[in-house]
Amino acid sequence: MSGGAHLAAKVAGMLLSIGAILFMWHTMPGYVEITAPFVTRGDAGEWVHTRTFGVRVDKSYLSRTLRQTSFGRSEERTTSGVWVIVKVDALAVHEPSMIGAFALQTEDGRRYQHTERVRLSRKVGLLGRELQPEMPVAALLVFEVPEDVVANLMLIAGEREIPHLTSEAHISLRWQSSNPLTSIRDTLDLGS
Amino acid sequence: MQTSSAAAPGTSSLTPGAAIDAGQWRVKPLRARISTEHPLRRASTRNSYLLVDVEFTNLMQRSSRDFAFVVTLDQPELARLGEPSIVLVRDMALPDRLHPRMPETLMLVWQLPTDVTLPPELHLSILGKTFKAADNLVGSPGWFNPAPVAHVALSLSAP
Amino acid sequence: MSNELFARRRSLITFAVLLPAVIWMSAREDFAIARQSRATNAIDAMPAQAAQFSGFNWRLIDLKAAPTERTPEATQVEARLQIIATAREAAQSMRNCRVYLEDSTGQRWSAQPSRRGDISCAQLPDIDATEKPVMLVARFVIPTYRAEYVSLAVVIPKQRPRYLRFHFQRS
Repeated sequence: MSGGAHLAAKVAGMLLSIGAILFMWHTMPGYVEITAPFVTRGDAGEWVHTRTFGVRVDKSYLSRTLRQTSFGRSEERTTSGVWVIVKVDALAVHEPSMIGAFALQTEDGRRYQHTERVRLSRKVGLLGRELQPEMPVAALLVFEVPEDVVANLMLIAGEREIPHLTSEAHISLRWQSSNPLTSIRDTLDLGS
Repeated sequence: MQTSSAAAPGTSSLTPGAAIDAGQWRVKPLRARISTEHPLRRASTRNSYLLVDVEFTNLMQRSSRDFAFVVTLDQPELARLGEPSIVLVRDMALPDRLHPRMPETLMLVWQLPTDVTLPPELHLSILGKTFKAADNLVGSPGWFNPAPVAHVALSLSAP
Repeated sequence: MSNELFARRRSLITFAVLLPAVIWMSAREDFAIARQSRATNAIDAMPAQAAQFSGFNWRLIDLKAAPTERTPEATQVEARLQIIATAREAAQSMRNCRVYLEDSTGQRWSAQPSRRGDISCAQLPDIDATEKPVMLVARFVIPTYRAEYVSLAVVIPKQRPRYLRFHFQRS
């Protein structure tokens, strides 16, 4: 082997290594991707089972105002947008579990997490409620969103607010009319 | 918490009722007043409160309650008022997370010690955080380093 | 040339030994944590006999199943366990203890919030059970078609992956 060719091979090898390192550096997944949740997708009306829980979207309602009785007093809650109330059934898979976070996601990726302006009792809401396998329970989820995003919303239900390596169900909401804004009620009573 | 004088470089001066985009939030200071009533507590004649209404619009991709650091009092003689409590004006209750692109007015409430005399004009700083795509600890994205981005002077009206 | 062959073989063998050793050394703790985060190894006991577990003597006294009033598809199961401490410091190790019903596939149901006056096993650190036995009560609501084929599992975080399991004698 001549000296020139040997040197050329060395340089080529080095450039190849540097290129490989740069390529790996730029394509290395970030922390968020490495710890991304395990997503199960499904449609409204069908059971969507993740590793730890199952959820089924039953029906969704829109309202301008929510009414609720707490401590014997009737309270009204208004919003600058519109209230979305999603009726769901939920159960645990294999072991008792909880659904600790839910949000509505718009088409462009904005996430509207569930409201805490309305406090649902454990019989009606899902927060803090331990789910059991093969024992579905009905629950209401409440969100507020701007009017212009209502037509395309996806429910995201997950184990925890910080979704690192947890399970998540993504379910597109379905509206009966093509323009759901025509079905907004003035008031919806959530009971007590 | 960092505060700086009204002449800090790189910050703009706001007129009351005008909005500024300060990182996570679009902030619109509305009005300031003194009241003898705390919006969340039972009426008492002994105390008085400084109330400042500010409209917040969430510019982020998700709901957030990271708004407590945004508005600070500039005047050094008011430094001992401490941190305000925050009230969601729509409910007159403690605020929940604010949701993307849904403006809400928050009321900042400072209890006034009896020996404090308020100036006729209140100087406020609006702070904003900077977005980092990867933090230095684990490389997750987030908002860091609050710094003043604007100042506003609100005239104080008596109750 | 044979010298080089020898060196290569030696390197290959060293690599084959070192790689698993390094993986084991760096991941040993994670394996241990993963193992201890789940209750997988059952200590089986028959209802009539008393079992030793976590410094206590356990005896399953009673297990009643009755369909719930509102829905026949759901069955309420009520378990009574008598326990007595065999060591003075045993109660402290019971922190976050939980009782489950378990079917043959390992599917588990947790107990409902305990009623006033009932003692659950999570309360044990605050109760003196060294002198006289304590009666624990746990109530479950499970699907009726599972009620016949479940056993009672006692899971104590400190003892994981081991846990205590009572099999019922079916009449």
